[in-house]
Parts: sequence; structure tokens; C-alpha cells
Amino acid sequence: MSAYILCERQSLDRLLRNEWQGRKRARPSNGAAMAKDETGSVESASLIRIIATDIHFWIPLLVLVAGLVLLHELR
Amino acid sequence: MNTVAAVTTVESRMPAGRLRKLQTLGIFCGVVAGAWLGGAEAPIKMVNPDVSPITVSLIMVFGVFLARWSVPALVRGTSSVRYDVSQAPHLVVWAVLAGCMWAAANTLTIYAIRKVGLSIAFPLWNANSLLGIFWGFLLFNELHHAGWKRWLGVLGGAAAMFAGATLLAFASSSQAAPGKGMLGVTAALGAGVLWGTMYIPYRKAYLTGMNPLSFLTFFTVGELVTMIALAVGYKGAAPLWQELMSARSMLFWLMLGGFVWVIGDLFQQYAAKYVGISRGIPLSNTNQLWGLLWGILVFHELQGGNRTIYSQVIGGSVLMGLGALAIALSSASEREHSSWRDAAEREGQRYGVEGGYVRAGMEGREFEGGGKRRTLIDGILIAGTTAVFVLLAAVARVPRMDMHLTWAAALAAAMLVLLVSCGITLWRTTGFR
Repeated sequence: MSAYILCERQSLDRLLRNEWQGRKRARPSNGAAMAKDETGSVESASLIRIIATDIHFWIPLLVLVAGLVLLHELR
Repeated sequence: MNTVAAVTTVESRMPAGRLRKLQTLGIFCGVVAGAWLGGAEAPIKMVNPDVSPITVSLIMVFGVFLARWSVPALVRGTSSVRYDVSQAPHLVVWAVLAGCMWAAANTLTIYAIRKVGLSIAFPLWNANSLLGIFWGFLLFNELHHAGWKRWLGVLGGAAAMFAGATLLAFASSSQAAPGKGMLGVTAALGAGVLWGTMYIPYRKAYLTGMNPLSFLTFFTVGELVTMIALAVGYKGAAPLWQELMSARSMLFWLMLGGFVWVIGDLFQQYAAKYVGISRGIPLSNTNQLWGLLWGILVFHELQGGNRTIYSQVIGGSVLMGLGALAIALSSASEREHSSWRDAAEREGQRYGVEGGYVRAGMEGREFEGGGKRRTLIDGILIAGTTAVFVLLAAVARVPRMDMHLTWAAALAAAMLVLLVSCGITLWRTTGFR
């Protein structure tokens, strides 16, 4: 788990660096940015994709599953 | 469908005076959160131990649900919630996930209280702040460029809190019934891990600029759905209904506990927003000291224990309190705050949130178009919640138990003073933004 987090941390740092450099070059966004239509509303497919590729989502989800298992054992 | 990429920048610096003001406000919110979160556990002690923990938790969550829709309606109106969701719709998913975690953790705490007692279980699950520091550093750039003094304050405080929790765990083995101590400790620590990790969605939401009041309205949907699923799955619908009916004279106390918890949690959210999870959570975890006060002064817990148990519990609690204080006093520098802005920008870019909205959220001010118009729905929510509590209070019965009412009144008065003074400060500084 710790190695996994370390890898993810490195990828986040890379993302941050890319975004920082991207901003300095005045590029509007990188590929990870959420797509919006002309009225500014978010595409739901894009929303799901971005959330599913965000490690921040999977960490709490795994902990929740573990917590539910513990509750089951204590019952 | 044509798409346009979202442009987000949150690079402009916040004036130093404003940053200091928000940090002080965040610390104040953390202290008030501690008082109310600690006080919320008291009504649970008034409930007949024959009611199952799952049912107790479910009833509390009903109270929490009502509070988490009516308080935002009262403070800012539901139109501001709709506006926030239109700006950052992905945070609905995060809020529901966090709510599911809260419900599971809350159920674990009831098991823990039953098996090892309030004054022991409290500090154990409050180890969640250590996890909050870890996630804050790892995922949200907290404590980056913080300097060695702040690192020392946070790490030293964390070590003191860990030592305090260990001391209390030792005391638990002599307080609990044989064979139940370890189960209670496991339940309390499990709750701590769930709550510690729940701060990931919190921080994500507030870095992106969402108002805590808006986040909580969706958070509570996750809570209620999880608790209903747990309760029905474990007990079956018919036995659960029968238990709810037979416990109707206690519904008021449990739902009141949920309501009080929401007030504390709301201030905890503002603390997490303005001083980050690595400081805000330890501060609000001073609820452990308030829980100890309620347990010992009002409910006569730990009576008949020997001197070793008293010294372990009091020493452990003081150690944890001092640790939390050291962490809280290591407030974020301008350089560290600039790292937070980098994390906020990352979140904004990833999810396509407007830069101005993110920036306004970080600075605690209104973003253009974020109206606070009152609607009929707000009135219905407030009136409905009030009616439910009045009806339940009418059928509630005060349990026969040995309680010190003067101490209970004194502690409740202290909580109210903190609530009013912090509420006014929060309104004047940010308009509850």
C-alpha cells in the first residue's frame, strides 16, 4: 500500500509540474481537465472518467469497504 | 459535442492580513467544533443499553440528516447549495462517499462506547487526526515549505497524541469486561481510520472552493443511505421497525445527539477549510477533552477505579490535548499557503472548476453570482425539522440515571457561548462562505 501511494504521489507531482509549466506557457489546460460543453455544463461521462482515474477517490473507498467488514465482524 | 477546456488559475496571492484573519478564524472554529462534537456524545449515554448499536446509529443519522438540510437552509438558503453544485458537480460524489464513511465510523463508535466507555473510546478514535496530517501532507501539499519549527510542532504534537492514545488503550483493558476491551479498542481505532480518511473528500471540496454548508447537504445523503442499508441488512426491516417503535421514547435524545454533532461538524468543516486538515482536525479533536468532562462530571464515569486508571486516563488525555495544541499553533506560513494554492489549482484544472470560484472559496468571500436568495423550500425544511423535534420531544422520556444536572447545564452553557461568538465571527469575516 505504501509503495502504491508513493507511486501515486510521484504521478501527482508530475501532474503538478506539468500544470505549472502549462500555465507558464499560457496553455489553456492539460489533457486531464474536465471537459465542459458550450454552456459550461460538465459532461457526465467525462465526470465519471476523471473521478475513476483519481487516486483520491480509491483510497477512501477502500477504507470504507474495510470499515464495513470490521462492522460485520463486530456484529 | 463541442468542448472547451476549462481555464483555472488561483495564482494571485491573498493579502497577508486576510490570511492571518482566516487562520485565526479557522483555529476558533476548530475549538468550537471540539466542544460541540464532544457534547454530542452525551445524549447517547441516556439511552437504554438494550437498543442495538445499529439502531442507535440509524436514529442519530436521521437527526443528522434533518440538521444537515435545515441548518444550511437557515444560514444561507438552498439556492446557494444549488449554485455551488453547478460550479463543482463532481463534489457531490465526494460528499456522498464521505457521508458513507461517517455512518460506518459512527456505528463503530457506538460499539466502542458500549465496550470500553466514553472516556476511553474517545481518544482512541481521535487518533484520526494523525491520519489527517498524513493525508494532508501526501495529497494536498499541507506542511510543504512549512519550515522546521512548524514541522516540529506538528510531528511533536502527533507523537504526544499517539502516546496519549496508547496510555488510554492500556487503561481500557482494566475498565472493560473481560474479552470486550480488545473489541472496543478495535472498533474505536477502526472509526478513527474511517474518519481520518474521510478528510480526503473534505479537503478536496474546500480546496476547490465549495461551501461547507453545501458539501454537508450531499454528505448526509451518503450517511442516511449507508445507515439504512446497514440497519436493514443486519436486522431485517420488520425487527428494525419494531425496535424503533419500542425505542420511541428515546428517539428525541438520539436525534438531538445527531443535531448537536452536526453543529460541531459544521465548525470542523470551516476549520478544515481555513487551516487545512493537518491543523483543523487535531484542533477539533479536543472534543476528547469535552467528552472526558461530560463523562466524569455529568455521568460519573470512572467512579470506583483505582489511582492507576485515573492517572492513565487523565495523563493520556492531557498529553493528547497538548499534542493537539502544538499542532494547532504551527499555523501555515505564506510559503506553505502558496503550496495549498498549487494543490487547489491542480484540483481546479482536473475537474474544470472556474479559477475565480476556487480563489473566492480559499479567501472566504462571495463569488460573483453566488446568490443567497431564500425560497419556499427553505421555510418548509426549517419548519418541518422543528415540527419533528417538537413531536419527538413530546413523547420523550427522561431516563432514570445518575446525572449531575448542574454540571450538565454549565457545560451546555459554555457550548452555547462558543457557538454564538464563533458564529458571529464567521458571519462577519466570511458570510459563512
